Order: sequence, then C-alpha cells, then structure tokens
Amino acid sequence: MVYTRRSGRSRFTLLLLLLTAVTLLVVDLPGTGPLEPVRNALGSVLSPVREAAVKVFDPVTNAWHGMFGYEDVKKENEALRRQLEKAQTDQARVKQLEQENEDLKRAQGIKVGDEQSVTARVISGPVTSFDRTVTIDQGSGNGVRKGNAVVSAGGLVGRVSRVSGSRATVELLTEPSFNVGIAIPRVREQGIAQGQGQGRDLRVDDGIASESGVKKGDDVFTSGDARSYYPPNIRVGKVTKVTDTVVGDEVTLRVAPSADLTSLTYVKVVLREPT
Amino acid sequence: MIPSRVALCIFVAWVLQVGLFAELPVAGARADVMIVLGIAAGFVGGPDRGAIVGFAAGLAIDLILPTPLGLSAIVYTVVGYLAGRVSGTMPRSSWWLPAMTCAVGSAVGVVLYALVGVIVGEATLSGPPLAAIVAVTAVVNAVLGPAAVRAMRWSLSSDNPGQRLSTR
Repeated sequence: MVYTRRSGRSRFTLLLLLLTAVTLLVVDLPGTGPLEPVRNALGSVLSPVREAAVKVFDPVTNAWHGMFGYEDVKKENEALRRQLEKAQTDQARVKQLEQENEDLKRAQGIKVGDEQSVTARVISGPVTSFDRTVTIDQGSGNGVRKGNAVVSAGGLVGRVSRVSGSRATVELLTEPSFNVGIAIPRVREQGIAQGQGQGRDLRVDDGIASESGVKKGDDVFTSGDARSYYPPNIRVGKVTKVTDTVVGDEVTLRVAPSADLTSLTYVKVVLREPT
Repeated sequence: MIPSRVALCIFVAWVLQVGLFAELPVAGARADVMIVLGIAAGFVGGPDRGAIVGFAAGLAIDLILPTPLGLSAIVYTVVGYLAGRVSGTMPRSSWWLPAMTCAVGSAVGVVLYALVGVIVGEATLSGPPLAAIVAVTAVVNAVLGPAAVRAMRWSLSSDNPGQRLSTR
C-alpha cells in the first residue's frame, strides 16, 4: 500500500517534470524563440564563469595534452597550418582575381566594397559530445547579429547562431543545418552547399550543371546574394568529388572546407545586413 | 533534500563539465558528467529524487548548449527516475554497484539523448561516433560515480530516514 502510494507519487513527479521540460523544449525550438532573451541574459552571466573554469583547469588540460607531447606539436602545427592556409588562399585568390579581372573588364563600373567586420577571439569550444559550436568574445554590443558570417584566415567558418551582449555562439559550416550559396568562379556556376556533419565535406546538390566542366580541385567561394548574410568571394573550400546524379543534368559536389575548424583562435565576424 | 546542497553539487559538476571535461576529448568524444548527478540521486534517494535532481542538472547544462532548452532536462529526468527504479530492486551491499549504476545509466542517457535529439530535429548523430561517446561517458562516470553517490547522500541527507536513504 505504502509502496503503491510512493510509486504513484514518483510517477506524478516524473510526469510533472517531463511536462515542464517538454514545454520548455517546444517553446525554445529554433524559429520560435520567446526564451531567447532569457537564455542570452543567462548566457552573459554564465560566460565569465565558464571562462574562469576553463582557466582554472588549464594546467590539468595542458598536462593531459602534454602527456602526448601535444602542446609543442600543436603550436608548430598551428603555425605551419596557418602558412599553408594563407598560401592556398593566396593562390586561390589569384585565380579568382584573374577571373574577376576579366569579368570587370567586361562590366566596368561594378564595385565591390569591403564589408564591415569585427575580429573575435574563440574563447571556448564545444561543451559536450553533441555540441559542435564555438563561443567568441564579441556580441551584440559590438554589432554582431544572429546569422552573421564568421570567417578565419582559411575561409568561411560558419555563422552566428546565438548572441548575447558580449558573446556569440558560432555554428560551424559542417553542421547539417548550415547552408550557404556558393560560386565556382572557374566555371561560373552557382549552387547551395550544405553541411553534412563534423569531419565530413559539404554537399552541393542543386545548381551545378553537368556540362559546366566542374572538376576535383576547383575552388569554391560564397556567392554573396544580396539577401544573404554572406558577402561574396569568401573562400569556402575545394571540390573533392564530382558525382553525376541519377536523373537530370546536374552534378553533386563534395566540398572540403578550407578553414581549419579544429584549431580556431581568431575569427572575423562579417557585419553584413541582408538587403 | 537540501536544495542548497543539491545546487552546490550541480554547480561543481557544471564547472567540471565546462572547464575540464569539455577540454579533454577522447576520440572526439567528451564525457558528460552532469548526467551522473541524477543517476546518483536516483540511486541514493529513489526515483523521485533522481528525476528532480536530473531535471535540475539537465536545465543547468541546457543553458549553455545550442540545443533547445529542456532537451537535456528530459533525458536526465528519465535517466534519474529509471536509476531510482532499477537500483531499488538491487542488492545494496555490493561496493561496485554505484559505479556500475552510473556507468550503465550514463550509457543509456547518451543513447536516449541522441534519439530525442533526432526526434526534435537536432543533428545529434552528425558528430563523433555514438559508440565513442557512450564509452567515454560510461567510463568517466563509472569512476566519478562513487563520489557522486556520496555527494548526493550528503545533499539528500535531510530526507525522511524511513525512506531508502537510510538503507544505503
């Protein structure tokens, strides 16, 4: 009898808590967002605590990484990677500029102004295995808005998914919910690239005609539609695979991101407002 | 249950999660130590306490995750409740039981989180392999389990002594 009463109370507690959690979940589902201001405010409060916690445990994490001689290799690797990224970006940029130059000769008078941007430091990475965002130290107080493009020396990194006063959360471009309009200057084709998950190449399903001549190794940039947060000509990556579709006259592309998403330190947030 | 003690335990686990375990990925997977609180509370205080502490711990971690608020809370609540239900039927004397309960409960929780995440449209399966996350979380929480159980026994110590708490 006592057991049954306790068991009934437990079930009631469980149901009550689940109901509360489900209500919060539904109210906070992406696109609805009435809890966004509350979360942002709490995020602002918790961010310094989180940074302090990371600093406190720094010796432990460094010791962990040091056990594998990781720290020195990491620094050296980071420097080399930066050099390589810069060289690749420069090389790709030269090719693109050549193409652009030709286009500009034909259509003189078109000007591409520099977009306004802010430099941000990546202050923390993912918190759990299911989290694949990074946090940066610039927020709405510095003009950062939800949706703004985030770029590193290597190219496009992702977009701002949440903003508080002094912090912003960045969703990486490999996330399945991420898509961006892209252009392949060499063949003058445009399409939409979508993330396929951590460590996987982006996928371009639509817009690239099979007779376009796109091939492995082609450089991919943002197309920069006026209605988009992404300015044109930001490097996205390189085509790694071209597959014919079963039906139709288009090809599917795989694009390896050019930015190194595993060791982000400083990024730029492009403060572009879609028109 | 002493709410201030529970809150302190949740805060300590939260700091460990964001400051330490988030920075120590193994094969791309990070241990989830927040989930162990609900399991330990269920183990010590029964399904009621497990669900309540699990809910609170879930909400605390949800605040800084990009996923919708309540996702972790749902999973941790269920896991805390189940831990309380299942551990009530087990022999209480075995020294390895807290570690085992926390390991198994954590593994179940990780899988449940991935499934619920997929249901609500989150890309929970697009990261490191689920098996790696389950393994890392289960091993770490098996190690932390006995400490979490002690912490929860301390936090729930004002409960009715006639209830399960006194039998541990």
